[in-house]
Parts: sequence; C-alpha cells; structure tokens
Amino acid sequence: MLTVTLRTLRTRWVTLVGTFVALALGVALIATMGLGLASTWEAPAREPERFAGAAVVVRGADELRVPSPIGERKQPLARPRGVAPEVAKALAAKARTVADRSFPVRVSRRDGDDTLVGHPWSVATFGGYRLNAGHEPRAGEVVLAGSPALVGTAVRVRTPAGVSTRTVAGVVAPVRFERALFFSDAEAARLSPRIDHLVVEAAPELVRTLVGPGADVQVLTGDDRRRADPDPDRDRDALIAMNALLGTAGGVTTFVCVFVVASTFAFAVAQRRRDIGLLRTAGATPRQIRRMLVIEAAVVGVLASATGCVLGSHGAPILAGLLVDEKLAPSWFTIGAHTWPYQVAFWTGLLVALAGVTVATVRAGRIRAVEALREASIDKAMTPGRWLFGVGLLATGVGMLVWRLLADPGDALHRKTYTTQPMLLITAVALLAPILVRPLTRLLAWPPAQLPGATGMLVLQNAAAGVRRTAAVAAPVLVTVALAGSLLGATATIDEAKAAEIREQTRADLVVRADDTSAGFDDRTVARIRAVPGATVMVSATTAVYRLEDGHALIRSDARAVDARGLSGARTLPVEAGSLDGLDDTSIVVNTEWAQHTVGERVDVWLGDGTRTSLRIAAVIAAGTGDNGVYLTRHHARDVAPDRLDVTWAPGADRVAGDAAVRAALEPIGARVLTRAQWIEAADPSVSRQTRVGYAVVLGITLVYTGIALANTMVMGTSDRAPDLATLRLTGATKRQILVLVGAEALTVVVVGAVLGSIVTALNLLGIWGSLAALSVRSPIVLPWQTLGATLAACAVVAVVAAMLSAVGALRTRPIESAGARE
Amino acid sequence: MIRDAIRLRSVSRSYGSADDAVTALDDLSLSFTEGTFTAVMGPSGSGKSTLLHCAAGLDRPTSGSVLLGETDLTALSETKLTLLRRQRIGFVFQSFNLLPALTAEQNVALPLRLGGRRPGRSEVQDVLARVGLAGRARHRPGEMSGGQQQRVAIARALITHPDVLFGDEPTGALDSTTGREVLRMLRAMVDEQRQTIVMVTHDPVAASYADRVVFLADGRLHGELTAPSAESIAARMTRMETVAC
Repeated sequence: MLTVTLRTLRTRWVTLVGTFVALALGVALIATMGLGLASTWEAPAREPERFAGAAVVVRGADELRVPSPIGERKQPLARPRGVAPEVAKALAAKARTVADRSFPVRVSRRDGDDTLVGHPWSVATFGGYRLNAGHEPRAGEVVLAGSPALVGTAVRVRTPAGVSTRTVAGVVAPVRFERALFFSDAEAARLSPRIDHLVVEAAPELVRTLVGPGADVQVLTGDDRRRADPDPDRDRDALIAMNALLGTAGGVTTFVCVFVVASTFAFAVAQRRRDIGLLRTAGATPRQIRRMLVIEAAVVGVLASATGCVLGSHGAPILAGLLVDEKLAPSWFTIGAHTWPYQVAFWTGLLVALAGVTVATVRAGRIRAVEALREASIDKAMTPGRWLFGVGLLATGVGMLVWRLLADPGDALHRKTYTTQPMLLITAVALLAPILVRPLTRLLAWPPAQLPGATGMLVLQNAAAGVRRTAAVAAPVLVTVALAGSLLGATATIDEAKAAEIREQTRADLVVRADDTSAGFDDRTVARIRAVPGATVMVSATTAVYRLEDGHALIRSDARAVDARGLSGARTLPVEAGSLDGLDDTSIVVNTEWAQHTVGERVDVWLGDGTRTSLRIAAVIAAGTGDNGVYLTRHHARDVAPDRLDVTWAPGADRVAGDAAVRAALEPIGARVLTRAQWIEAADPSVSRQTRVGYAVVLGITLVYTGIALANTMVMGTSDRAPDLATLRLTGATKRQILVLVGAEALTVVVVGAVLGSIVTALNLLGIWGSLAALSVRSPIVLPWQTLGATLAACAVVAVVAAMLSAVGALRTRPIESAGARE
Repeated sequence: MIRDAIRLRSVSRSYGSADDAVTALDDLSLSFTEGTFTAVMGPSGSGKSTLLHCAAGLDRPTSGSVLLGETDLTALSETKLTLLRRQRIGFVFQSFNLLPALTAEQNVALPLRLGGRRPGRSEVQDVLARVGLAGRARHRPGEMSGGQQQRVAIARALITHPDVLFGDEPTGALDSTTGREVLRMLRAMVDEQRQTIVMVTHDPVAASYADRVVFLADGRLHGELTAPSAESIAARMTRMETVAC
C-alpha cells in the first residue's frame, strides 16, 4: 500500500505540488502572524527612571475601584488624583518627604516655542539630574537641560499663572524620559498646588502603615516606581493597537488559509476520481483508498507544514520591519522567541489538510469502480452535507446579522464583528456555490455562446458541466473579493457615517483645538477669546464618566465637560428625549447605550477623578456610531484644562476681524484654528490611519496569498484538462484557439467568484447600513471601488496568465499522446 | 476516373535520439484510392498507428512526404496543418475522444464552430441521422453506450465532408455486435457516398469489410490482399507472426 502511495506521489505531481504550495504558504502566514501577535503581548521591561533614586513614592490613585458582588471592578481614571494634603502632612510629620508636581510650561526661545514639563528642583536628584553649570533655582529662576552657555540668559516662560521672564540659574544634562524645566520648590508649589507624587524617605512598611489601608493613594517601591514615570504605559499602549491589528490579521489570515487549504485538498481528491476508480477496479477496498489518500495527505501535510514554519520564521521579522516602517509599531518592536505560534501553525496546517482530505475521501470512497472509470461525467452539484452546512452557515450568518440589527446595532460597528461576520458568509456561499455556478455561467456565457465560434459554447458547457470544479477554482476569488469588499467597505462606510455625524453635529463657525491637549487652554486665553466682539464661545474639556451596570460591569464613557448654556448653540446633537438646555451642574446628558436613560431620573456615576456623584438625566441622545459620548458641565471637571473651543459668530458680527482676534489671542500658546468646513474635512474619524494602513497590510498579505492560491488552483485545474484540450486539438482547434478558450474560461471563473464575493459583500454592508440606520445615522454605503476594481483586475490577470501558462505546457506534448493519457 | 486521395512517398519516422532511434516507418510508399475502404494490419509495433498519424497530419514524418490530393502535408506549418485537418480530414479514435461536457450535437458541430462557422440545425441532424443517432442529439457522452459514443465521433469526423476518414481501431473498444454495426455503417458510406476510409485494425473480421488490406511489418509494406475474406486475412496474419518469430 505504501508503495502505491509513493508511486502516486510521483505521478500526480502537479496536484501534489499545488496542495503543498497552498499549505506551506498558509502555514507560513499563520506562523508569521502568530509570531507577530505573540510579540505584542509583552512590552520590554523598563527600569524606573524619574524616581530611580527614591526609595518610596506615594501617589494618588490612578484607577477607579468599585466593589461589586463579583469582586472589585477596576478602570483607569481619566484624571489620576493627586496626593491629598492631609496624607502629605501626616507623612511629613514622620519622615522626610519631597513633593513632586508636574505642569506644562511653554518656553519661548529665539528658535521657536517649546512645551516642557515643569517640576520642583528637589525631585531632580531622584531622576539622576546633576548640575553641569550654575546653581539650583531660586525664586524667579529656572534650570533646564542645555549647554552651560545658557546660564545667566533670560527665557520667556508661560505657566498656568501667566507669562514671565526668568533667568537660567543652571543647566543639567538632557535625559531620555522627559524634557523638564525646574523651578524652586516654593514657586512650583504656587504654580501647581496639587501634589502629584510624594517621595518619602522611610521604609516601605512604615509608609504603608502610616498611609493606612483606606486612603486613596498608591505606595510605589522597586519596579513599581516606573508607574510614576512620564507616560509609563506608552510601550504597552503602542502594543495594544498592534495587538488588535495583528489579532485581526491573524484571524483573517488563519481563516483564509484554512479555507484555501481545505478547498485545495478537497479539490485535489476530486481531481483524482479516475485514479481512485482504477484502484477500485484493481480490487482496492474503499477503506484502503481512504487510507492511501490520508497517508498521502499526512506526508504532504507534515512536509508542507514544516516548510511553512521555516518560512514563517523568516517572514515574521519582515512583517515586524514592515510594521515599524509603516509606523504601525513602535521602533523597538521585534519578534520575540516564541514557540507556540509554530505549534499552532504546524498543527492547524496538518489538521486542515487531513480534514479536507477526509471529507473528500468519504465521498471518494463511495465512488463505485465503474462509475469512476466512465468519462468524467457531469458533476453532481450538491451533496447532502454541503446542503446541510451551507444552509446552516448561511442561516447563522444572516440570522446574526438580523439579530444584531434588532438587539444591538452598535455591535455591528465593532471591528471584531465586522471582521468575523464575512467569514461565516464566505464559507456559506462557498459551500452553496455549486447551485449558483450553473445559472451564473449560463447568464455570463450565453451571449458569446450564440456566436458562430466554438469558444463561447465551450466555456458555457465546460463551466456548467464542471460545477464543482468551477466552484473550487472560484473560491480564492470569492474569498478575496468578499474580504476586500467587506472589510474595506465596512471601514469606509463607518468612516463616512462618522464624518456625516460630525458634519451634522458641528454648528460652530470656528473650532479651536489645543496643540498640546495635556496642557489645554488656560483661563486667561479663554477669557480673551470670549471677549472677542460677536463671539459666543463654548468651552469643552475631555474627561470620562464611569457607571456600574447590571451591578457588576464598570463601564467607562468618554465625556465632554462643557459650558452649561453653550451646548445647544455649538452642537446639533441627535436628542431623543429631554433638552440640551436642561443641562446644569446637577445633571448629565447620556446616550441610549446607557442602561438607564430616562429623562428626569437620577443616575449614580463616578467622575473622571473618581469622585462619586449622583446626577439627573437632562437629555438623552442617540448613541450614533459610538462617538456620541456623554456631556456634563465643567463643574464636574474643574481641574481639567479645556482642549476645544467652539466659536459661533453672532449675526452681523465682523467675522474677518473676529477670526483675526481669535488667532491673535491664541498665538502665544499655539493652537489649531479651523473653520467649520476645515474642521469637518480634517476631523479624523475614529477609524484611524493605523486601522486603515493596518487593513491595507493585512489585506495586502491576504491578497498575495489568495493570488498564489488562485494561480495554483488554475494550474491544477488546467493540468486536469489536458485530455480535453488534446481532444480539442485532434478535433481541429489551433493552439491559439485553445489558449483563447483557456483564458476565457479562467476569466469566467474569476467573474463567477467576483459575483459570489459581491453577494457576501452586499450582505455585510447592508447589515452595517441597517445598523447605522438603527442608530439613527443616515449615511450611504461606501465601497472602495478603486481597490476592489484593482483587486479584481489582479485576480483576472493572475488567473488568465496561470491558466494560459499551464495550457502552453500541456500543448507542448503531441495531442495524440495526451489524448491517449486519458485511458 | 481513379484518383489517389492520399499518397505517402518514402515516408520514414523514427523516435528518440540519433544513437538509439526506434524506426517506426522505414521508407514506406503507399497510396489510398478515392472512394475505397482500406484496412491497415500488422503485428504490434509494426508501425500501423504511426502510418495513420502521419497520413492524417497528426504526426510529422522524419523524412519523405505525404500528399493529400495535391497538398504536401509535410510542408505546412503547424497552424496551416491544423486548419487543413479540420477541413479535409476526419479521424476516429479507439477511445472516442469526445468532450464530456458537450452534448452529442455540440460535439459533432465542434469542428465547424472551431472554423468559425455555426452549422445549421439540419446539417448536424443529417449527420447524426446518417450514423443512426437522430434521437440522441441532446445526450452527453456519459449518458451513451460505447457504440453510440463512437457513432458520435464518426459523425463529428464526417460533418466537414472530409476527403479521407481515418479510423484508429475504431471498433477496438466495442463489443463484436456493436463493432459490426459500426463497420457496416462505414462500408455503406464507401458504397453509397464514395467516402475514402483508411482504418487500422488487428481484427481480421473488421478488416474483411475493407476493399483492400495492406500488411505492415517493421515499418515496411509486407504485402496486401484485395477483396479479402476474414479467413484469408487471419491466415496471412498467422503466417506473418510465425515468420516474425
């Protein structure tokens, strides 16, 4: 039996090479994505920096902890708290303490403005700062990083308290983790009263005892002191986006690989009907046939999966490089030494190969010897299993779409949803494809079949007769078009919906965004803009509100803290109930995503700094695409500087002069001033560049793979047609006619795949459109026609070229020999 | 007037490289008269199939020339040769070589359509009726018996009204009753329409339907019989095989 296996390995090499290529590349892709994904789970460990020299650092809580029946729920706070003055006082009574404060400062120099972070001088020593020249800062003086020549010069410094000219008392060496400007301790305390960190020179246990368990502070020691460094999560944050991207990429590519490999292996078995028939006549039992095919698949599977793992180990660093070049990944991103991706890729590949063959052999084993020996007759289009799974998956896919529409329309806009939804439908349509192939090819090839020539007729008859073959070869095109259409269409449609939302909601004539959102606008600047004649200014700050839903889910909502009276003048929000004018310091505007959204009721919330409060619901707005957060007054975010101003001109106001006045007022602090039209255009919908480029990378890789798979099945399919082509030549077809025929057939298959893919795309996008409508966002379906067209053209070129090249190969032998090969 | 439909002049055909070439045809000259039925016989490896392929323009002789009427097939390009075959030569194979995806009438119409002409309905129907398959036009090869498939193949060869119809063991894959029906049909074409037929066979009974039997051995002519009976052919073949051994 094994010798038969080895012999068939030699003879059916086109089929075997085809399955090998599909599997090896598929496994390589899975391994590559897996390695990338594994490497996003751990950010490189970094040492504490700013407080490296301090034993214990006490800081205010940076997360909200809420007890619930199933344990304590946590969420990071939008606005971490400072150390309460009582705590600071209590600690100072028992040990030496140094208070740290951080506040944005702007320094004007000859070569332009610069935003630095201000600190008291006493903390400099913990970060390893040493004076290179000069002395420590006294009142009216500062220390900064730079050359000793700066000592004694004057700099203009803008602090929250205003602009002043200060003398450079000394200079330090620059550091990697921040760009600081040091003030005297007293002055820093005046500029920023809040204590951000407190260095305590005492044993950690003592500090913990002194602070007590109930106090809202953290005691950081050892590596935990890293939490007190500027932006301690930046490495992790950079990886979170990467993790989401590679997770999606991994999901999509794994699906595509499994789909392509399974269909290639099944196709390969279907191609060998005749071999199987011969073996059956020679006395092989169905069991032996199955064993032979499974052993063969195992041999190919192991070799191809192993090759794929090797390819993957080379591919992953290339992927990492690509992601870094595209600025999708931080520059330090590299592929770590992980073994599980290889395991996953190897076993997935092998199992899929075996599963594809097993399913196909159940059918093949049933073939009666005589049946198989007959001239390849008309394919039986559908088997019961195909019906069962096809209809089942279709019902599930469409059912989920409808259910989502009714129950949770917002879910359709989530990335996880719109990347998995197409997979169900693609598989369903691929399984049901044979039913659609015949009418489709009839429709496509009927007009040319009426021409006197033979090509149209042959295309029509061959495609319709080889329904399963056509469906199998069309599968890679189906998956390509459906994925590109669904994913790009979904992001584009959601982008458009978000843009439409912004267009509809923006009423202000000018929108001003702070350059540095952490600094925001100071009160004086805001007052100056309010004073511009004819201007109505609505000030808003970014914060968050937390609520406990169902007793255990602590949910964060992005919130805007706005001027109570200005909201309805500056924004047109989709109000469902209540009135925006009802918003005051005791109330909140929520959206329909909140479980509790009845106007007039009270809702318990935690504010951005963790303060618990109860607010009355003044109005309810539609959830929209997810960006319609909640609104409360600035009373609830007093210490957050506003980062956006909506300026509306009174009728008859001098807009040109006003515009100039606003820009002049902002000049010293730097800000983006945009007109309504500019704002709408520039408003970056939250499907960010990262997502879009990420999809381009994911789809690009997937398309290259499906392209290869398409060429592969084309070659496999055409090599199978060698006897037919030989017969045609014996009947008097010229080589040119054969090539035209093969090309036309390939093109027909591509069109069939494209139509099937479009069906999937249409279903998916209709689902998203419906969900948007259910969220009261009226916005059209957007299809990236150019990308889709280019994808389709690429598929067509690949298919036609691959089919023609393999036909040229088949034409090289004398027709009289290949026709004989049929026997 | 008696004319030759096809003439082979000193045709040689060898396969393989110069060192260990196998000679299938060795300086063979032979002609087939218009309106006659010739059977080509000989033991395995005698070169009878090669003779047929060279005569039908499916294979090219290593040397010598093949004349179809006044046209020298060996001087034509591959495409010209294909076009000529399509218009003037019919070929029937042992293994039928029908396209499984096409119906009987589509298979029959194929040579004309490849020539860019869509045959009239009646044209195809007539040919199918001539081979006794009037009611089977819409059936695919898989739905027909071997004899019926071979008739479709003959109808396909006849649709172009070829100068010569070649058959390579056309009854080889058929049972004797069906085979005899096909042979009677071929005989009738010669008698009634003066169709020229050249057929390779190893079956003395099949050969007995021919006007003339030529015998090949080792790529050379080895005698011939005119208006033969199955018995005389069988006796000749037995003699040839004993000589060969």
